[in-house]
Amino acid sequence: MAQKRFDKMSDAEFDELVNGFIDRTATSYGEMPAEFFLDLLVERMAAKVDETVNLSIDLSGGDDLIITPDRELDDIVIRGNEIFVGTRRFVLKLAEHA
Amino acid sequence: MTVTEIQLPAGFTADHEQAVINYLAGNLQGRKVWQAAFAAYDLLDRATLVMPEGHYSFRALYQEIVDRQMADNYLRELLALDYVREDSPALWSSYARQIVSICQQRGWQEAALPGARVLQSYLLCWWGAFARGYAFEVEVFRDLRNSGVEFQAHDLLDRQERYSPSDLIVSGMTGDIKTSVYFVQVATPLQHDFYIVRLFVQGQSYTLAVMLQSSAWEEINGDTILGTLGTLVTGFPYPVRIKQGVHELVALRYDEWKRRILRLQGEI
Repeated sequence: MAQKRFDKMSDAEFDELVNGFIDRTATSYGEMPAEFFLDLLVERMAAKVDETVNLSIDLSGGDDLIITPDRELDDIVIRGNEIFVGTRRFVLKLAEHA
Repeated sequence: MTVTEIQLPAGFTADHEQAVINYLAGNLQGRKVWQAAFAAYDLLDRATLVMPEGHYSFRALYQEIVDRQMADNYLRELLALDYVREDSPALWSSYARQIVSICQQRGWQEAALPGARVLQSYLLCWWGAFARGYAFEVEVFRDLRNSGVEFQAHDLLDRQERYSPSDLIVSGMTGDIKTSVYFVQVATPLQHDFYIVRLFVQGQSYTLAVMLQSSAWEEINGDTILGTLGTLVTGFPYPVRIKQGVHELVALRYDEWKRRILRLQGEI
């Protein structure tokens, strides 16, 4: 059943919704039904894999790697040999062999 | 902190908002409703809070306001609990109420800032997934220890280790411990040898299952029958081989997996 949209709820109604959520999570596990858990998991994994981005690595500058994605990304920054994802910075380097 | 506006992604529709409200209200009957809730929260990763000093994605806000400020304290308190299963819900709820207070203190109220309730819902959803997930993980670690299973676990109080690729290693096999909701929410590729997962089953509050890659199952060995997770959780006592898309997994009940691991480790 459709409920009121957020902007149509009074402060009291929103508080009740939030408090209900918190109270419920304190008294139940809220897990997903086993009958479609795996099906949905695999579906979402496949959808995420559809977001494949190809990275080209240019080694012509000697030890300086240049990474270039095949399209513009709004949530990942790629600069030289560095990739910034969220709060993480990945640095690609050539492996050193003894 | 002056906020000028919240920008929801262009594709975030009234149906997505309804899915978020359904999630908060616990109206989660059926696959389509769950699917819609996950899709809505996926989109909200890209929603932004606009402030004079810059734009902040909801994901970045979660990291800054919730994860950085609360995660370590929560985990310390969680690990200090004697009875994790019984007492952790009150603990994660108290932190959830702090998130609500923070939103109120910052003036993130709907009347002044359209979209503020969506932001609060987003922070609460991810906090719930995080807090319940780690409570479950600690519960499993303690149970494995009490059962005599030898394993190596990552240190939850070490931020680097917390983000390590796997949660534990058992007899050389890497594993993850996940609640079903978090598992589907993040939907990362199945790169580990096994997964301990908590699922809802009609007539029970939950059940625990272990899903193994076929290669990991060969370490444990034993016959399987072809079936589904439903076959397993409705009382079938033997390991079930599941084919789902390109994936082939072996699933068995958690207690049965433990028994076989103990046998593999020479404990029984």
